[in-house]
Amino acid sequence: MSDLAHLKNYISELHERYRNNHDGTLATYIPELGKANPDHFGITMVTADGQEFSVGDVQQEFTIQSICKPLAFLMALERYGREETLRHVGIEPSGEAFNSIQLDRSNRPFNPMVNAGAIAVASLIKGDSPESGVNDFVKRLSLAAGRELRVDSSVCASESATGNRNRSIAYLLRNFEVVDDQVDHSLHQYFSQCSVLVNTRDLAMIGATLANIGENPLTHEEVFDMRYVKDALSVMLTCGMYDYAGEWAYRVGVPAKSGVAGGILAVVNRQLSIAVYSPRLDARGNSVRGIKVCTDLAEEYGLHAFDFMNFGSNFIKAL
Amino acid sequence: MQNISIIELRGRIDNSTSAEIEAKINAALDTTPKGLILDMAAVDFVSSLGLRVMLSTAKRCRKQNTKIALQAVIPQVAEVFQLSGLAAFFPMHPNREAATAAVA
Repeated sequence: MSDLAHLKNYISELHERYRNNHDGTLATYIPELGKANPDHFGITMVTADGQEFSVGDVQQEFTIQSICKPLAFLMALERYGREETLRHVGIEPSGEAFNSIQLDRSNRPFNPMVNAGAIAVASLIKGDSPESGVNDFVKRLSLAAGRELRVDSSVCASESATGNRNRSIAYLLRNFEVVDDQVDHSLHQYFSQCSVLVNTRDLAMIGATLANIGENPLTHEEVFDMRYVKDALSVMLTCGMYDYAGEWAYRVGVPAKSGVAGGILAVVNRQLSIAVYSPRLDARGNSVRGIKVCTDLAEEYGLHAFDFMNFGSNFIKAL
Repeated sequence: MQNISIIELRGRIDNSTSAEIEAKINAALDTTPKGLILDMAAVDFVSSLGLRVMLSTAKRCRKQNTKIALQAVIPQVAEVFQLSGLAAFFPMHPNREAATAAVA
């Protein structure tokens, strides 16, 4: 990457190309999300060595929503290891919508990216008290973002007040002993995780920390255990885009996670991350402009995991 | 059968230009020349998408026995060909004389 000016120009071009695309609608099932300005549109790219390119509304804060899920999964793996974590949640794409009430044959949630799986994961990392569990989570995200983040309490309250479906999922999980009996504590952890406020620069820096195998490229803080970064990226690739995940893997081919507030975070291992914020969503709950930006970027720069430019592993070449 | 086709490319070979470039190259290859010289002196950037067009050109050349040569590739662009691991498809030559000698 000797001439990154092209990347910067191309991101500006994409912003211009899709600025007037007004397709899609705001998420309204969480009433607070319906208050977003639908025209907001920001794109940030951060390379694995910390260079940032931003265009548009990149300071605009929004709630991270489901983009918290792979990060929470990573934290659960760090604490419990693979075997124990995967006793509580699977890693199989479900092909179902994010809020589906469905468990696999072992009565586990299909994967950590659907709500059921994310609630199981939230239960694992919820800590000793509602305050400490949320604080630990926010602190880790802050280290990854390189900035102090916080929970939007009104969105969190809105999530909780309208969260009866998630509550019923949690009790179903309790029934199968996927979660312990502190169901309200687990739900508080989950709603709070979803309500962390970020902007695209924060998200992209979190993604760059993943791309840089767990180390924030600017502060050099070791934020995530490198053993499990791969796990988080894997479930993002196979399950990250709700019931568009298969098509995303086919067309774009990079690990990514979307959230219903309109964020998308995509990570290219060891190279870079891309964060897009645009709150108008398609029928599957993914940001319309976010998908377009990521698709075009992947095409132009050969980001797809199986693009002819990509070797898969450089290790074999080094032998 | 035409002897050698020479195409001068300019600026970026990417999303915004590759369709036009591909059409131009294919029109030249339709005449099944003995050699195809792509003058790259004024090309300052090739994206992955652009490289894909170049690669399919090289493959078509191989199929129809047209020798391909890239002329005066600037170092930054040459690096993209090297890093892609596909440099073998694209013999590079410093100037017109050398390129012409290679495909003649």
